Amino acid sequence: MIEPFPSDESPVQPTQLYLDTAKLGRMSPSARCAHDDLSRLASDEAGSPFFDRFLRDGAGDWTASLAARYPGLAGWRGVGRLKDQLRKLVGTKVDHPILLASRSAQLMKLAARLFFGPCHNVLVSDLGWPGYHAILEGEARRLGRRVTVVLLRDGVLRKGWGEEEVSRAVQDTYRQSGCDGVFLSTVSNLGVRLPISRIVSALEAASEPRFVVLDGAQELNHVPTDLSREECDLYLAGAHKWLGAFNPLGLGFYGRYRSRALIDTLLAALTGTGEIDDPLLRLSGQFERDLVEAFSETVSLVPLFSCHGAVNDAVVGGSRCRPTDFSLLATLAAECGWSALVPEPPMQTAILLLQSIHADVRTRDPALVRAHFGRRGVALTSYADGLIRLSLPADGLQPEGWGILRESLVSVSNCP
Amino acid sequence: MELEFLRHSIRSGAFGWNWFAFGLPPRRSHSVSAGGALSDRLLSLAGYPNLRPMLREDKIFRRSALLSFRFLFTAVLGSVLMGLVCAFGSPAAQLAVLGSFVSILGGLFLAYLAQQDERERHRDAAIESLSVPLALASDPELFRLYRALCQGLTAVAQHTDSILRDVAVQKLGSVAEQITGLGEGKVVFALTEGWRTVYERLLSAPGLKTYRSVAWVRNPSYWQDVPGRQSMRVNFEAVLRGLLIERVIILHDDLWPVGATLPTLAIRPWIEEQHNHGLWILLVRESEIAREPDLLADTGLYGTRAVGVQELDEHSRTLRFTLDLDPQSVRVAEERWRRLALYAVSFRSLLDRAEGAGYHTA
Repeated sequence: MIEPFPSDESPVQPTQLYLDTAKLGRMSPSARCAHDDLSRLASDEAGSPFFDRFLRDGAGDWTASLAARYPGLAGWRGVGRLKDQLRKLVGTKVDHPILLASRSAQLMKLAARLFFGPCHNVLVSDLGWPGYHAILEGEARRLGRRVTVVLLRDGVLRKGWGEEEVSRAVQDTYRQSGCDGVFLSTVSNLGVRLPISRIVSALEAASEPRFVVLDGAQELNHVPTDLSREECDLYLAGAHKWLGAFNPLGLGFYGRYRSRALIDTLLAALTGTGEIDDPLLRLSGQFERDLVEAFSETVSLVPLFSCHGAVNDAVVGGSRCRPTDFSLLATLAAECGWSALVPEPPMQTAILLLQSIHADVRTRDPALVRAHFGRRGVALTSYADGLIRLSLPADGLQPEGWGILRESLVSVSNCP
Repeated sequence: MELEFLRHSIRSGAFGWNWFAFGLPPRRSHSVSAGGALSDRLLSLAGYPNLRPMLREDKIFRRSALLSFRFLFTAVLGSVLMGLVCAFGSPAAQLAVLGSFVSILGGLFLAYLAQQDERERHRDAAIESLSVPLALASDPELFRLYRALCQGLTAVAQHTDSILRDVAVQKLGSVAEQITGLGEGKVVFALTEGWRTVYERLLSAPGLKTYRSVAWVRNPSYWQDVPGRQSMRVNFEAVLRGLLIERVIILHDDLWPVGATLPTLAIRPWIEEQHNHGLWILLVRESEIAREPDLLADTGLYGTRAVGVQELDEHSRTLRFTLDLDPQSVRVAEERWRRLALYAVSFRSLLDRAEGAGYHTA
């Protein structure tokens, strides 16, 4: 039986199968608890001296009754401790700085300025996040520098490129275009995990990139992250996707001997001139230095506490990506009129791309496709050309999840 | 009458500059004034309200040479003389006198031509001497200086004291040399740090995207004085504005001993400060380029626009700074830069090695 394709105004069902973590992760239990308790504490204390002290020093000296009243906040030990937990999560050194910003775009702006201090030409890939690329290209245009794009997407998703081919393509483009900076996504928004170690070590050996920035927005707590290898000068991430903090919080990890003072110097200069204007970034730095401006801007602190809760869960639970048998999913998709675009195993993640084999689905507005899945109780991301992105849950698809997914895939395929 | 005059003017193509004068007050005789208004109206209708016809009376009147005294006297005298020879002389004498007259005439004609050439040379020289102020007239600042120089030279010429004149000639010779250098695109600053103002201006130029420099550091006092520190600040501000600065630092072996990962603490903070402000720093040991002594120089390449060369004394004070805007000099400096880069190692890579060796924790 063929159902008519529903209009956008049709009622949306509550989600039964959430497959959109790559866009915005579901809030982790501890993050939710911290968020709720912060709301309650704010309704009692707001900006009182008690709250100031709690914010700066944490709840270490709280009485048992206070801790029982706000259990989600009882583990808070200040911004410094939050950074310690984050360091532990990504495996970086204890003395390496971390930037906390309310907007990750501000950190990308910093990265763009850092690139175009010493670099003429920065290499990016077509698997990178377009929003970040736009910031980088804007800065390159302003200063008369260049951004070069290496094409990897089709090779990885359609031609079966392995890590060797990807690494070679990056090296060839880097050399031929005269690049001297590298900006790559460790895990792309389309779910491809690039062989970063291999690429960076090959580039370092051959031509010494002047500055390396990695975008780990889709990597943090999705696949295991290890920054102890120090493959980059700056690592950008966020708390609202796979970490499950829900409230956006931009994270910047750095600390290599060769670039630490450079980043500190430029950051101080850009915040001084107001070119980088992020009140949370400023405030979190002041907390660590135990020096808070008397007339600073009022800042939302919710992202700090929800991140704290989410990091607690992540440290305990580990990264969300579990070995997934994509062949079963690919078979299911094929039965329902969808083909799976699966990278070679070392580059696979918990993100799976499916493309409709039906021409009419490929021409549909992606928003309508997403809405159709939404009406079937499935949350996912859809793109042009009949592409959908499934972010698989940490515990894999349950039997009922398979059924819901099958039904929704068939439903969209059969809609005229 | 005026219409007829205009018609004639148009027919003869005489509506040129010689027939008209801009806005001159009419200078008409009574005989033509009656029709003057009509010509004004015609010109006004033709779209030339400011033009007035040049009157025939305005033409310079030249009398025919045939009516001049010199011609008439010479012609009459010659004719009388020839008449007398013809009347009383033999045919041979007549021929001899005629030949003499023709020779004299030819000689006079050739002498006239020579004089004419001389006059033309004088006229060309006069026009050429006028061309200097004409060429400078479009640049009021240079023209003012030109006039001041001319007045000064005139004043010098009026002095009679020989010692003053000798001193003036010596000094002016040096000035002339400098001006010639400027004309070739070279600016020389000797025994002064004044060149740094030009340096700062060059680094702030809107079109400048890259600045490559070579710093030949022979002792730790290099650029550590007040003007040097100020120039470093200008470098840092330029990087913050978006200028790409690449600097090769040639270090004496005392400052970067062979076998040491990093330069000594006497100079390292100065290098680190630049690295930390976003300059791309490369290092070369002086001994490693000993075989290529032409690479040992303090040089700055301002995009592809200019090259500056600084010469220092043993206390790192400027002896001379030469700014050269000649494209050929820039190309030569670029070539040297490329050769020097072959010996250079990035400070960043040294920091990587030093990190492994535990330098920063020491």
